[in-house]
Amino acid sequence: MSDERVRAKLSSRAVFGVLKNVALPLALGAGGISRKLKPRKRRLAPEWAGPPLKCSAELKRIMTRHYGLARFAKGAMPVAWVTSGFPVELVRALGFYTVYPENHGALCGARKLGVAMSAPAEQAGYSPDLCSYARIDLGVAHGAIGPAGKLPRPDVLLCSNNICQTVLAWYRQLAVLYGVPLLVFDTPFVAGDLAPHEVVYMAEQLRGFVPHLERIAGRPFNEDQLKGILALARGTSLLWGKCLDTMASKPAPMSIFDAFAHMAPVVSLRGLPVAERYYRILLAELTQRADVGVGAVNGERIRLLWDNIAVWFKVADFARTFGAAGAAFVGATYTSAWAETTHHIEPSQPFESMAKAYSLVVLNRDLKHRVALMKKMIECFGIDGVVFHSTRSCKPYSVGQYGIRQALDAAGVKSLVIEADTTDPRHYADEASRTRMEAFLEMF
Amino acid sequence: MNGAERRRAIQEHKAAGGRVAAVFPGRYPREVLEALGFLPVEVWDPPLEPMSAGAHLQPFTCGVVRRGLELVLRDGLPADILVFPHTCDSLQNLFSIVRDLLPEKRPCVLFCPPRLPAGDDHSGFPNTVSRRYLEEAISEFARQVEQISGRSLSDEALAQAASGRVAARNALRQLYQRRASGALPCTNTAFYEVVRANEYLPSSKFVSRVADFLAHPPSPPRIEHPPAPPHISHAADFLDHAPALPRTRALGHKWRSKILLSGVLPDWPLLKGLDDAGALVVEDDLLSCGRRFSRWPEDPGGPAGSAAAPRGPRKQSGSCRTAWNAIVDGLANLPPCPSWGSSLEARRTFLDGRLVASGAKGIVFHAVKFCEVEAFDHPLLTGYFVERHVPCLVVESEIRDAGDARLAVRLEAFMEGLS
Repeated sequence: MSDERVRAKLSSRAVFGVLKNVALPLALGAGGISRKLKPRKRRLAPEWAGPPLKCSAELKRIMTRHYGLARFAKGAMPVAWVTSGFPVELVRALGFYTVYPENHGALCGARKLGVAMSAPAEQAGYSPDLCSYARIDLGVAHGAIGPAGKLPRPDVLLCSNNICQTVLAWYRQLAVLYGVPLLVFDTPFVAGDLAPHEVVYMAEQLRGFVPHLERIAGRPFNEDQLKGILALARGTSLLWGKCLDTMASKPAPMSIFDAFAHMAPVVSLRGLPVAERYYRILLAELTQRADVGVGAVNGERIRLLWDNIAVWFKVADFARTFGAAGAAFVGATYTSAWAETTHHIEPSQPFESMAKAYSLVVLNRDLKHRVALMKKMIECFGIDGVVFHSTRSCKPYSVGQYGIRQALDAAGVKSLVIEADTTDPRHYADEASRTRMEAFLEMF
Repeated sequence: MNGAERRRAIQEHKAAGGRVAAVFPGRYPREVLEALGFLPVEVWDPPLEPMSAGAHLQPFTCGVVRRGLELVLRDGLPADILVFPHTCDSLQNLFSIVRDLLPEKRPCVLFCPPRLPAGDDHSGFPNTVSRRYLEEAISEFARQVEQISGRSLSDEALAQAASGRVAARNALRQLYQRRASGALPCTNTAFYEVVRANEYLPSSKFVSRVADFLAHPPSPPRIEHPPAPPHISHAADFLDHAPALPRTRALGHKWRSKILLSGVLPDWPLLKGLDDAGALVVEDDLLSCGRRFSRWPEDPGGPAGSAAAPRGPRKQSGSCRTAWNAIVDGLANLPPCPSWGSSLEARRTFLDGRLVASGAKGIVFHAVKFCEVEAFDHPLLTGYFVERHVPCLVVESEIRDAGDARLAVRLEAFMEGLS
């Protein structure tokens, strides 16, 4: 490396360090103080809504800091773009800054920017029928800038097909558009039990990634460090699982619509101390709310299960519609996906245990498993009905939902299917859906 | 596709005491099924309107999956087992719907290949790992089919099936070479009727079918002159005598432009549209056809096979080992395919090579509606080829949608530009 490049890298690192440790904490603190001092028109909480979670402010601070730092990460440290199902612990051990395009897509969707962000991708020829997270991300590659500002260009792309085959098609495009290497963690679909040769195959792939990542990171891999990060990630996911478990209380101290937001650290910051710290705070608050009987929905009378990714641009509307009827979502197959297989993580066997934990996630397993999982959740959380979000953006999650619904129907569980999309409102009919939701709620 | 010939093949095989495996789309170790006495019959686009399938699948599922499920639901498959290669998310879940959620009694088997084929190292992926897993996936598939059939794979049967498939692939290669050389100027529909016979014929019959076709190729399409439009003096006359506007142009085989077709399958409205527009498909990159055989000559236990000794759970020796290697190589050396995660670079290289070898003047990328795997690649592939002055067209249609006039119009406009 030339002297000039070394100097540039050192200077980027210094800027990043100052931002991380001084400027951003100060700015976020000052922002918080100014918000508190500024006289604001107080919005009255609707009658049905329980008191908001105090943790939300901390969550906002953490995620703002994460995206704020992302803008300055390039040059200071290697940047990896990662799918939500990739064993991120491996890259954490090599000091990568990670960006989750799916999380960014959800953020854009929640801000109702899905169509605008995907427009440049559609203009470049990508079909509007493709996954809307992918379109938003390809939109970013074609110049769109989202609410989190400019994302840092990746040095490497890391993709695992344990959540869908779409990510593979999507990341292959990114590899060409950004001209960077793509590492694919191929997890064979589990149609029953995981076979030993499949574990070997996956563990060998992970080991095979190490020299490539070392080269990109410019530093050697340390297995002990990976073990420490795995222990931290395991602890974080277990804490997240405990947070979700508090929703078995009646009333549930948090709703799934809250959980959709509070899952961001376990998805994006898993393996970092900040995520673990956050879930300790959240768990304490939820436990305290459960103990004193504070619920997310006042007068909770219907307990529901959500299946699939959120309809990000409608989260608030759905919370209102269901909450006003005394219906609380107390479980979701989506949010529990980051806690379901954590127990397989065994830091003493890092590669094999990551192979198991990451390949046994709900979307990489057959529908029989999903039916069983949902039945178990229905029993454990005292659930009265299920709402299926049939999203055209996620085929592995959606294709098969009609059959799952029939299986649950046979077991006497009431259910509703909402046809929508994760971030693209063009695939959602508001009035028709509202009528169906009202009819569904009248069934209880 | 010749439905009568397909039915006859199934009947003959069953009459001889054989069993039938219905195989859903994708690439799979066909030899294993054949060696265990099954006739693999592939299910790509059954001629059934999806009605009952709508109760199980969302409208945004592709026609291949919906029609396949319709066939299962109507019990239109005289098959003993159902095989699902892991090709995409929708097919993956179709497998689970049929096996786990429907009252389907026939055994369902999933073949799960690695997502990065050996030889394609776009990610720096360790190829030996991928190849080893491919071999193990084939072994696992064989083990499941053995268990279902109650038979064991014999060395002789495996060797016979492997050599039969090598012969079938050689026949396909010869067929494509003749087509590219201009010696087979028949319609695209006629050409693909033969190619698609490979979806259901045993290898020996397929080889004979190709030999017959090459010996007696159908004549090229005749030149058709469109009728002169009638004289129209009033609007009323126009309405009364509204002429059927000629969709076909004056076509003679001398005028036809050579093209390369990329996509999932040669859907017949697409082929008819291409025929009508004056296109001669001389090479393809179709998942159901051209991505099912390598373009270079092979022999059992070919180049890659001789290098890599099998490590899988199956113990082989002598002819069986050679046959086993031929099966693994047959799959490992297939042309790049997005459903197996091949890089865009590998796809470009393959298409570049096929363009040069076939003399095609342009590429038609056909996407089956809602097929994400194919659709993702189109913008970058077309961008690459257009930069190199290779005209490209991307068309999308539903399977067997003969009423889609947009398809015909777009093909016609593209071919006009090529000629």
